[in-house]
Amino acid sequence: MFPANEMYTVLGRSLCKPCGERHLQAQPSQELPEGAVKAQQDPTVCAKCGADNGMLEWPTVAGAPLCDACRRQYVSRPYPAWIKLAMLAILTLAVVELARNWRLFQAYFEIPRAGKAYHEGRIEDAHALMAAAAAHVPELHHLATQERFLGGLCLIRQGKPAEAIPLLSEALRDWPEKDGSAPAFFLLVARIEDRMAQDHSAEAVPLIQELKTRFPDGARTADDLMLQAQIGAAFEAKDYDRFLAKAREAFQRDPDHPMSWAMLASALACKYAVTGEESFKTQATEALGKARAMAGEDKSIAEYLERIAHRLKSREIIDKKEYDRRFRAGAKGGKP
Amino acid sequence: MIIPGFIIAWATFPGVIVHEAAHMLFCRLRKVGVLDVCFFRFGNPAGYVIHEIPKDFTSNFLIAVGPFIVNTLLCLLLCFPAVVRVKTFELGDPLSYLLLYLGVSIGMHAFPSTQDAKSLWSAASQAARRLNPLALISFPVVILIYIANILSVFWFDYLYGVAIGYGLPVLLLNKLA
Repeated sequence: MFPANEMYTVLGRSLCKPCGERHLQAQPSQELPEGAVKAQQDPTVCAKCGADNGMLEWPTVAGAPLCDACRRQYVSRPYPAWIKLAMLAILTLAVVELARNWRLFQAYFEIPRAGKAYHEGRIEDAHALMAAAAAHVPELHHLATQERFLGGLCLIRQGKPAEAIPLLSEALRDWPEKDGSAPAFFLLVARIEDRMAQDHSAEAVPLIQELKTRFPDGARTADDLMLQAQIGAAFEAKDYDRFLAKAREAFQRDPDHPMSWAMLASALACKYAVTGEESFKTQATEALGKARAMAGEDKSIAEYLERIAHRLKSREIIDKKEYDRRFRAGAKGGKP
Repeated sequence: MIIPGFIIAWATFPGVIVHEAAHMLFCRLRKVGVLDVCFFRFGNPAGYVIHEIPKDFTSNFLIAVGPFIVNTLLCLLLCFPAVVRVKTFELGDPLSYLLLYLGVSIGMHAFPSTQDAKSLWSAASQAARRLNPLALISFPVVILIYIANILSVFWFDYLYGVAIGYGLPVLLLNKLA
């Protein structure tokens, strides 16, 4: 009796090792075919450690019976420590990179949203988003430049052109292309509006003509500003007939804007103040109500409407500066 | 420009290591015995995994295409955080470039080798006789693997790595923005 693991299949015969060698030597000298000699394996004995499983066969790996411990070395072969460490290191690097670039991802999403808001006319939203992007990536100066530009636009919209001028000047200084750029355009607009807010509407006229020449695409804005300047100049010259005519012209141009109704109310209130004619008062009150309804929560218009109401009540025409001096400490800029 | 394969393998050795590790991962997952493994060497092939013949075709398939799954995912994972810094904001620094190198190197070795394709084809041929549906769809996969290996002469593997590591993150970010 020989253990199966010590037996060989030699040219189809089952032999022990010494008998197998003798059998091979007895063969005529020639090349043996593949598989002519094979070690026999007892399927109940582990081929690696020799563990005997009694009558039960071990499962095989690549045909060799292996006990559970030896089998695990092949089917759950562990990765070398250096592979695990290297993988851990590169994944850690990826996490570190993601964490330190998180602010860049935030800016990446804020910038196009700011652009979208700007093109949709939501300038305050655009400014807030660009300010956040500029804060997230302070290394990129052009983001800060765009933030200043949008901040300037917000101030123009809020009726604070004097405060917009330094912001837009800074934005223009750092803008890549200065001629014909948006900051150059709005800087000129801010200067025009500032002149008008300072009750120097006549001084705004040459600036508006410059705007029209330098920015042919902004002709509509220039025309609107020219009309506003003419309204302002008429008010400043106490020419209330001209003020009313120009306010009506502005109203016809844009009847859906609360400011058009407010300017009409303002001009009619002036006419009531100087003539005492009730029809002017009625029309002014009606226009004022319409402007109030359309303005809603808009604070910049609310202050203007408050002044028109005072004019209707007192029949006294005072400019914004005087009104602010009497009733509102610290207020700046405004409409006639 | 044609560069000998062994130089590319040396220059992109992280990809070779991950490729072999991926074969081994799927052997482990499918309980297929691994008899020998070499993650990287200065020779041809640059790495290999010798495993027992799987008993089912699914294991065969997964072991063969394992590197395609693992290398592609790892390439994307490593490059994604770095791309926004390098590409979008042009603020690249050594860490970002290191991750891009690792990612693209790994992505370049995503395609199974012709040896992998050969064993998959042979296993698929046997399994197809039993009308195994996975075996049937494996044939075009094997053809694609062969094509990818032929095109690697024209830098297809590099282009794939760049597309996954650089192009895909940009595409995803643009979609999300």
